[in-house]
Amino acid sequence: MADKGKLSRRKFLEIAGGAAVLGGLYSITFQDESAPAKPRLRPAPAPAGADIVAVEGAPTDYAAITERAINEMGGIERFVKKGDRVALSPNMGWMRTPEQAAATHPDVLRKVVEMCERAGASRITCIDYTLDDWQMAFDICGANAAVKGTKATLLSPTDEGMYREVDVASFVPAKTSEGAPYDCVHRANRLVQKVPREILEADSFIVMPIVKDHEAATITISMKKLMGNIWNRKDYHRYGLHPCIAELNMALRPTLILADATRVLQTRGPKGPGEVTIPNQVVAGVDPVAVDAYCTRFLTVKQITPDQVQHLMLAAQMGRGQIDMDKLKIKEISGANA
Amino acid sequence: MASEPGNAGARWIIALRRATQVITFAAFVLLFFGTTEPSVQRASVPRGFFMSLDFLNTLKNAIASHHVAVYALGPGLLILLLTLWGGRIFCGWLCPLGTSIDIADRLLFRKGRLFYNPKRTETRRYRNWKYLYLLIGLGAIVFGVDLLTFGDPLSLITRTFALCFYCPFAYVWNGAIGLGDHLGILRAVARITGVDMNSWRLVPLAFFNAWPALLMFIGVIGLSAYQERFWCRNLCPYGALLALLSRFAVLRHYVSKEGCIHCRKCEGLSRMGAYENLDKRVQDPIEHNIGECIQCFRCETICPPDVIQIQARMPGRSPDAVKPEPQADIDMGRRRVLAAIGVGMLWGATARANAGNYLGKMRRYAKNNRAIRPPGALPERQFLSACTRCAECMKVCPTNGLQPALLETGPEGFWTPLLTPAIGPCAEKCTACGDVCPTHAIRPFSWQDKRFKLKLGLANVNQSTCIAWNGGRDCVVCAEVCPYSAVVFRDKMDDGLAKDDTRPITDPGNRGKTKRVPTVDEKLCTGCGICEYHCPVLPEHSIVVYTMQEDRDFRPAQEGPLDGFVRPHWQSRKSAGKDTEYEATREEYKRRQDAASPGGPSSSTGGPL
Repeated sequence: MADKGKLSRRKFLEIAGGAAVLGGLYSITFQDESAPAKPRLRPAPAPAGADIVAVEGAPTDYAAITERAINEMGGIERFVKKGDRVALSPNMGWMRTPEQAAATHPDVLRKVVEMCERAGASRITCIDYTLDDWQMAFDICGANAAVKGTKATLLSPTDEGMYREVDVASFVPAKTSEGAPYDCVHRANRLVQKVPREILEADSFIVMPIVKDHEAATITISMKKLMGNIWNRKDYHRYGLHPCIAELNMALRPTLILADATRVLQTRGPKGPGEVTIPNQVVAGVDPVAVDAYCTRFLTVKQITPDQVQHLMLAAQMGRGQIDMDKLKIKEISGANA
Repeated sequence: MASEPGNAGARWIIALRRATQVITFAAFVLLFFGTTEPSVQRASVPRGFFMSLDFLNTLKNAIASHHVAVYALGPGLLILLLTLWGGRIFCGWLCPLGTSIDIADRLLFRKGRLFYNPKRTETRRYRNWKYLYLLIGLGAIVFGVDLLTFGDPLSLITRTFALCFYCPFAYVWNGAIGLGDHLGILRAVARITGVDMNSWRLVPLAFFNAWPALLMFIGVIGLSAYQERFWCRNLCPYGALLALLSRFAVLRHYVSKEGCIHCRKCEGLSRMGAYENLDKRVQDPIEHNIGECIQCFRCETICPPDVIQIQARMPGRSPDAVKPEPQADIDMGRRRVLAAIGVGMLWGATARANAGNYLGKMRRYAKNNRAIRPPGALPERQFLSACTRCAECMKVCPTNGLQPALLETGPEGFWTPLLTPAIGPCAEKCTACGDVCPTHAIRPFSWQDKRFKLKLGLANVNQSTCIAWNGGRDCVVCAEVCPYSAVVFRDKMDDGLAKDDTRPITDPGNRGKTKRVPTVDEKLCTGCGICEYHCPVLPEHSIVVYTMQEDRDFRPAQEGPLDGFVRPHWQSRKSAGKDTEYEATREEYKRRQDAASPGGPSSSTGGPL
């Protein structure tokens, strides 16, 4: 056998072809998808009954008032269908205890997770790209304990491979609703934004912010909360938070917004520790501008009004939602069972 | 098999040795991955086990600090006793670097393999290099200059694994998980078993300056093409130390001269070239050099007339007791020994007298103001002599912030850890590097110590690039992320900004606007670099940590001859008053917490905040 140990052409081609296939298969794990993704989230259903529901209850009733607020919005089944993949976006990115009001209350989180489970969600992921160390942050803010025993998983997508690019600028109108030209910051500065695939591939996206003061963005409620998920946050600070937040909200449209105003961080936000008040309320809605505008009333210490918050004004001008409280149907309820 | 020469019983010993090598190596790899963050927090693995087998580390630390660390003696002392009984069993049976060399040998250098060289087993030159290296190193360590650490086998293999092997492995492993994610396999697994394999991702680390470690490892392996186990024969300083001890070993090779047919098989197949003088003077006694032998037992299995016996006989009293083979002297005169020590001391003294170490009042600090040491690091001088450059701290650092130095702290600081906040900051409640450091060059510390008793440096705001200082934009990232409340915002009137952005600044009455600008409180700042890491100004961050005001006189809670390394200098210097010195910081911190929290004064400064 003179040829023993030598490579025949056929063998060589087989090996080369196999390696190419395997390599190609493997390489897709590192590649960015060439085309920007579009969120495949289900559009938020039209409000039934009221645009905004605010429920107040005792500190022991946070779970109950959460359930009541969602039920008043038409029930969780309107937002989460059977077999849906649900992405929850609570605040859980800080190493702060629930009393310090930097993160969504664990009771509220747990109740929403349970309701999603009951509605038949196939997969529930709580996402927050944390600034503090994610393990300790999840632990200290109570999120770990809140999802224990449920099928929800916590995720801090710290790896760029878990994100996909979204062309935010394509969602932003060229003119505001009043007809004035609008210069899209994402387009003008060629900002590239990436959103976790968990959110882009989810059917239902429930944003669960806590109402807080924010020293740079004035407030951080549902619109600012979306910044807790994206990859490239540094450029947002660089090119101005307010227009960037407003534009991001044009692209990412939550199915349901549940603002946790049970405890409100009034000063030194978003991380605190600062002054905390306890309004004991949970606010539900589908319009981020309306919910945020409504929730500014909880920021009593700095007495913030919606017109002081630039990203609310911008988003309202772009037609993302209604900032005028007079034009909204608001249902204010006291007690979970009343 | 019956026709094979040699002692059948010894083949079992060879099988035992191979099994031991495989098991030890597997244990090494397991412990290696067992010490990666986040596993370091979860499981209480005996992290420092392999490094504690390294008596050379303990020895040189003892010389450098003039104190014997009784705590560190344990397993290393056992290795010494093992060597006194059986010679360099450690090298042949246990050392993970030796096993790596053996594995590479099998894959690359054996007959029929790529780099086969029939002569490589018979070569016995350069043997004294390892003794010279050891002596020079011991001479230099008297002045605290550690040369042995580059060649120390356990440091070398750990460092190579951490800097060169872990990163690509994590990359491929995470890529495989990502592939499963893309193809939907993980989702299926999660649906069926409820296991979210996304959480199995390893911390993806990446290191500057990994290539010198890789080159060194490739060199160690590659030299085996010239001589089998070239590194262990000629260069390994720990091998040299064990070789000196093993001259008194009990487990010896006995060769009966009558049966020997002078086939030279033992000489050719000895891994370390331990047999000598078989060809030149046939009538002379065969010399087996126990100092070079690693007890691999190959000679006993291949001897055709089976005249080689490896036995542990206590030295006999009677004159007719069987004598082991005579030992060849180490071919080094007294003059060369003294010269080697002298060269080492000259080297150490010269390096120690380097002007870079003396910058007037600042002489305690490294001259490079970006050379931030990990928390708990000893004062620079002791740190350089204690750090064994095993890169364990860099591997466990969850943020990847610890990076190997090249020449930032001088040639003595090669491969020592530097905190590079732009890559990763020092996470607030992480104590991993202090937990794993095998020589306590990074002393074990608690996260409260990090807040009140250590100072890595001080953050500085560059006002020309900061977007709040310069552009007047709202950006509070550094204050937002600072876990120590050390970044404070101030309102400042800036005449260079327009009051109303829509009108030009030259309009009358449009000049001057209040902006919120970050400043750093030097009392509370610990220099952890979280602000630098998160600063949105790129690529040169606007808030940057420098080593100024760094404080490394930290004294850990546990310290003493039985439970830690004793470092006399810093102990005596700061034996009094560290806590009182930080009382002001503690008070200040508490005052701010109280002012900020609604429920009145907080009772604890130590609890989670």
